[in-house]
Amino acid sequence: MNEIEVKFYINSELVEKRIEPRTNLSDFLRNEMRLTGTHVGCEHGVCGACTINIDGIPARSCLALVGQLEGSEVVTIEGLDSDPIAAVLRDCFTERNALQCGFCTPGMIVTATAMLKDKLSLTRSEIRKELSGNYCRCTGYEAIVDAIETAALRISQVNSNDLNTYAIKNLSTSNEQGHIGQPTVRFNTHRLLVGKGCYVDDLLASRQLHMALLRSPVASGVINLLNYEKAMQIPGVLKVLTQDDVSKVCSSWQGVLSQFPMVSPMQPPLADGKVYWQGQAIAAVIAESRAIAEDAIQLIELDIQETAAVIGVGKAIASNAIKIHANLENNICMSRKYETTNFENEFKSAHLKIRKKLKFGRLTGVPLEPRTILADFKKAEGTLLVNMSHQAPHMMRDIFAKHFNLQVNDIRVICKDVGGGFGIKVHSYAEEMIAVASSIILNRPVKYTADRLESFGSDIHAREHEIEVEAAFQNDGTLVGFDLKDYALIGAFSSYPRTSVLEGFAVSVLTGGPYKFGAYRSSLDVLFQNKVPTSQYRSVGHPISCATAEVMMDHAARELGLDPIHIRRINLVTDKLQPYVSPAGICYEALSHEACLSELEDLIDYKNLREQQNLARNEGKLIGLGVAVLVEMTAPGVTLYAQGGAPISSQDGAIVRLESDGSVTCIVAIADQGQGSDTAMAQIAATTLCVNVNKIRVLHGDTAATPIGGGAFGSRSIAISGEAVLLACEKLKESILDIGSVLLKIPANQLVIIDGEIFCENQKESITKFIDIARLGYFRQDLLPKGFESKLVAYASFFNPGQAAFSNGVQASLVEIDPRFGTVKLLKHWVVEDCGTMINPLTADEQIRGGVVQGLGMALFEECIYSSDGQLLTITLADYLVPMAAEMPDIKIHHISTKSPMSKLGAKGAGEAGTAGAPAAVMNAVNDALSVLGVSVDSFPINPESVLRALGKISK
Amino acid sequence: MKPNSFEFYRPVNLESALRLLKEKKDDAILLAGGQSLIPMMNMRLINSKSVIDLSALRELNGVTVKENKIRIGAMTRYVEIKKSELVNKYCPLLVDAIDYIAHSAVRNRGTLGGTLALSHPSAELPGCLIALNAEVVVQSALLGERKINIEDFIQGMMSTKLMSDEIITSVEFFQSNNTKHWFGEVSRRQGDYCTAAVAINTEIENKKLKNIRIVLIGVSNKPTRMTELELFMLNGDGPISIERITSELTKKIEFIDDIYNSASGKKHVSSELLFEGVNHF
Repeated sequence: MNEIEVKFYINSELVEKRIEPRTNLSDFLRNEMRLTGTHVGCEHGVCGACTINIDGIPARSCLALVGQLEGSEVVTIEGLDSDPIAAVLRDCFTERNALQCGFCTPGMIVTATAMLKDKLSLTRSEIRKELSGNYCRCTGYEAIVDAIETAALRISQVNSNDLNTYAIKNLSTSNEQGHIGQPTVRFNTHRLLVGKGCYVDDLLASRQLHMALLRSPVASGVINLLNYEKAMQIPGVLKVLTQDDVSKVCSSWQGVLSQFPMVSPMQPPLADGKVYWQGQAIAAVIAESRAIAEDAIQLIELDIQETAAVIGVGKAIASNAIKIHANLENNICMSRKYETTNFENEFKSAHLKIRKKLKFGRLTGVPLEPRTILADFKKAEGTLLVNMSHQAPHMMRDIFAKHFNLQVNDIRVICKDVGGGFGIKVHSYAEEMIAVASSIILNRPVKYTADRLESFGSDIHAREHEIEVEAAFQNDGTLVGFDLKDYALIGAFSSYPRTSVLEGFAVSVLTGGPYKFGAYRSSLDVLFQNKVPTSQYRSVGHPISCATAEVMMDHAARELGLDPIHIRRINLVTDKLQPYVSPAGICYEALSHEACLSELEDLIDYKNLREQQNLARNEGKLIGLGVAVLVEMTAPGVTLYAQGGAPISSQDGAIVRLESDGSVTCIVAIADQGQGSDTAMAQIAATTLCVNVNKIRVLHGDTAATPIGGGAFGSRSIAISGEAVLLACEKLKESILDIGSVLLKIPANQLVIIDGEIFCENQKESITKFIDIARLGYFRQDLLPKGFESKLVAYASFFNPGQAAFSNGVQASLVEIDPRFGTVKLLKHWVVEDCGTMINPLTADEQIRGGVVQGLGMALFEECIYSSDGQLLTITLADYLVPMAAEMPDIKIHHISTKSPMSKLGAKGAGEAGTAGAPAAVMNAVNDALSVLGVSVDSFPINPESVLRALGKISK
Repeated sequence: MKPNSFEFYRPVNLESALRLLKEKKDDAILLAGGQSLIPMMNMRLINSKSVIDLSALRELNGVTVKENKIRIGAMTRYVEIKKSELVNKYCPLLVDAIDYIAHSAVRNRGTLGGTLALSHPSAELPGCLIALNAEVVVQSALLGERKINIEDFIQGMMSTKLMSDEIITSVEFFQSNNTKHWFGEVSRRQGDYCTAAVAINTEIENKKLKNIRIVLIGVSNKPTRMTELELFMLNGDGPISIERITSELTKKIEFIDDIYNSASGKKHVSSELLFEGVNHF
C-alpha cells in the first residue's frame, strides 16, 4: 500500500506513523489514535463538529490531510482537559444546559476556547457570528451564546493565576434541587464536554468490517447491468452483495398501518431490478475499510435504463400519469375525505371567505451524527448484537427479529449516545437492514456510517405539502370553518413501520385545533413520487396544520380590520368548553389557550410593541409581528401505531431498584438523545422516593436490560416513561416502608421518608436509612419474618388510554424585511407554552428553543430541492441551509402549567411544540410587515426571492 | 466519503515543487490550504493520482512591500492577510472582504493562492483583487516567472490562465497611500456563498476619485468590472440611479441562476448592492 511517514504532535505528544496519504486528520485522530472526541458530521468542512486546533488556531480536521501537518501541533478536545478557559466553558455549558446530544459539543468547546483566548469582551452578536460555522441542531444556540458570555465574564473577573488553578466546581445539586419542577443540571454532561461520549462510530469491534453502498444515480429506471467483478479484485474487499444475496437472509417489508385505507408495495432492502429514487441502494460492498469499500463502489459497472420520473402533484395525479408501481392502481398512497354534517350550509352562511394556496417545502432533520450501525451477528451463539444510533431500540429489535427470522431475545439492540434524532432515527432503514444482513452473511461485525451525502439522500424527508385552504368567518371575526385540500407528497415507498401517511393525517385532523368552529371539510391525497421516502420528523404535521390555520386567521383579521390577537381570543376553545371534541373528531382537554394568549400579550408588551412598530413603519421600515396559537399532540396512545400492527409499544415500563448502599437505579424504556429525559427520570424518582437526586442513576437504551417501551417519539418520554417511573417508585417506596415497619415494629403508615432516611411521624431523629433497609432486604433476610418477601425491585408500566395528551401554546415572532434584498431578519421570538407538570425547567426550555429553531429553519431556510427529473440538488450542508447561530434570535419563554388528567405526574410533552408554532408565527410576521404594501407570501421556506416577488421587485 | 488513493508529495522549496509538477504534469494537483479542494477530494469530484502539498514552501508565505508594490505570497492564509499591518494600511478592502469568507476555522487554513487557482465565481478575494488591479505572479520550471493581470487571469467559470506546470507564487498591486473602499455582500446565512457581492476600491487625489474599480462578484461565470459605472463615478456626473446601474447590468452581465436564486433575482440584488456601494463614495 502507498504510505507516507508523518511526524507531528497531538496534544503535546510526538506521533510518528506510516499512513495512507489519503487519510484526513479527523479519521487519523479517530481511527489511528482512538481520540474519538473529534466528531465527523459532514466531511466537507461545514458543520464544525470536527474542529480541532492546528498550531494554536481552530481548523476543520476533515479538511486537513495528515501529510500536510508535518511538524505541526494538533490539539483536540482531549487536549483541552486541563485548559483553564475550556474548564470554565465546560462548567458554564453544564450550568446553562448548552448541550444536548453532545455531538457538536467538542467542536463548540474548541471554537469557544479559541474565541475567549483571543478576546474576552464580546457582544452577543459577535459571539453568534463567531459561532457560525459550528452547527448545533439541538439547542437553538441561545444557551451556547449565554454559556460563552458567562464564561467570558467569569474569566475576566479572576486573575490568571486563579484561572490556572480553576477547580471544576462541584455541580452536584443540593437537597433543595433535583426534585420535580426545579431547574436541575443534567448529570451526564461532563463526559460529553470532554469528548468522552460514546457514539456508535466511536466503537471498534474486533475484526470489524465496513460497508459502502452503490446508489442509484437516477430517480427512476431499470437495471440492465450490474457487474462487480472488478470491484471484487481490490485487496481488502470481502464481498459485494446484491438483493439476490440479501434476500436469502432478510425479508422485504411493507410500510402500511392497517387502520388507514392506504397502499404501499413491498420494499426490498436492495434494489430488485428497478430503482425508484435517486440514492436508493443497489449493491453493498463490505471491505476492511470504508475507503476501500468506496474504491470498490467506483469499479462496479452499472447500466440503468432511465425512465421518466414522477415528481410533483401534477405528474402524480395526471389522467395519463406514469405509474410508479405497476402493481398499484395509481400513484395515490392514501385518500381520505372528511366532512362535518351540514358543512355546505354552515360554510355558505359566512360573511367572509378567504382562499389561499400554501406550499410547504420538503425538509429533513439533519441530526449532526449521521445514522450509524455496528451489527455483530455471532453465528456460534445464534445471537445478534446491534449498536445503533436510534430512538427506538425495542422497535428495532422486533423488526430485526421479524425480517431476519430470529427470536426476539436472541437480539440485543443498544442505543447509547445518539447524536440527535428529531424523528429521523425512529424509522427502520434499508441501510441498517443491509448492514445486519452483511454481518449474518460474513459472520463478522459490520459497521455502516452514513456520510452526509447519503444522509440527505436516505434519511427520511418530511413536510412536502401543497394545501388549498378556504377559511370562512363572520363579520365580527367568528370563525365558521375551514375547507382544506391537502396534497402530501411522499417518496416512492411508504416508510416502514411508521408509514408516510401520518403527517397528512395530522394535518387533516388538527388544523384549527385551538379554535371553536363547526364547519370542517378536509380532503387528503398522499401521493407517491420518485423521491426519498418521507415520514415522521419532529412535530409531525403540526407545523403545517398550525401554519394553515394561523396564516388564515391573520388574513381574516386584515380583511375584517380586526386585531390579530382579538380574532384569536374570540375563537379560542375556552377552558369552560373543555373537554371539547373538535369538528375533526379530536378530543381536547386541560388546554390553557386563554391563559397562554394573555400571558403572551403581557410578555411581548403587545400595545407598546405595536406602537413601536408604527413608529418604525413611519420611518419606512418593514417590521412585522406574527402570532401563532398551537396545539401539539403528545404522548400518543395505541391508536397511532400499535393498533395498525406496527411493533411500537405505546406503553413504557420502568424498573426501579434499591441498591445495596441505599442508592436507587432506574432502568427505563425511554432512550435519551440529549433531551435530558434521564435527569428528569431521576428527578421524578427522587421526588417520589424522597431522596437526593444524586442517589439516582438511570439506565436506558439496551434491550437486554431495559423494559419494553416505545422509544423517544411523539414528545412521550416524560409523560409516559416518567409516569412509569413514578408508579414504580411508589411501589418501591411501599416496600421500603414495609421492611422499615417490620424492622422498627411501627406501622408503615406512621413512617415518613426524608432525604433517604426514615422517620417516625413527628419525630426529629431518623430511625433507619435506605442503606439499612437494603442490607436487611438483600443480606439479612433471616432477620425478617418467615414468608416476608422483600421487594426491593419494582416494576410498573404506563400507557395513555386516550388519543394523546395535548399540550398547547402561543408563539410570537418579530421580523424586519430588507425590501432591497428580500431578506428577513428575525429580531425576536417569544413562546408561552403549557406542557403540564414541568419536571426540569432547565431542559424543558432548551427543548423548546431547539424546537423553535428547527421551525425557524423551516420558515426561512431549509428545503430539500429536487430537479424536475428527480435529482436531489441539496446534498451537502452548504446547500441545505440548517440554521446557524448568527441568524437566530434570542427566544423568550414563559410557562403556564395545566396538569394532564391522564396521569398522576400530570406531564405532557414539550419536545415538539416549539417546531409546531414557529413557521406560522414567522409567516404571519412577514405578512404583517408586507401588509403596508398590500402583499403577502404563501410558501415555505420564505426565501428572499419569494419576498422580492411579492414586492414586485422581480417578476413572478 | 473518503478520497481516492493518491501519491503525496511535500516539496520543501519552490524549485523542487516546480520540478515535481513538471514531471507529474496533468496527473498532479496542487494542494494549498485545502478548504475547497479537500471537500471535492472527499466527495471524489476530483480524483488525482498525485497531490503536491505546497504548505512547506515558506517563500510563498507572507505580505511584503517592495518598490511601491504590495506583494502577498500565494500561501498566505486568510487569517494572516487579515492580521497583516500592511494589508490593513494599504488595502483594507481585503480585510473587510475576508470576514465574509466562510467561517473562522476555514479562514485559518484557506489561502489566497488557493482561491485564485480555483476562481470560484462566488469567491470574494479574486473579485477584490480585480478592484485592486492586481497582477498574479506565476512560475513554471520551463518558463520561469510571468505576471498576468488578474482580469486576464480569471477566464471564466472556475477557469484561469494558469498552465498545468505553473504555480501561483504571489499577487502584487500598487501601494497607494490614500484609498477608499467598500465591500458588501448578500448571502442567505453568514459565511454562505453569496447571492451577490460588490467590491469597490478607489484612490483619492485632491478629494477626487482616481482609478476607481467596481467589481460585481458571484452572479455570473466570473467577477466582472462595472466599467460604465466607474466612468460615471470618475466624471462625478451627479447621483447615480438604480436604473443606470440596471442598464449596465443588462448590457454586460450574463446572470447565472443557482438553486436558490434566479438570474433575475441575482440581477435585482446586484443592482441594489451596487447602488448602496456607489452611494458610499
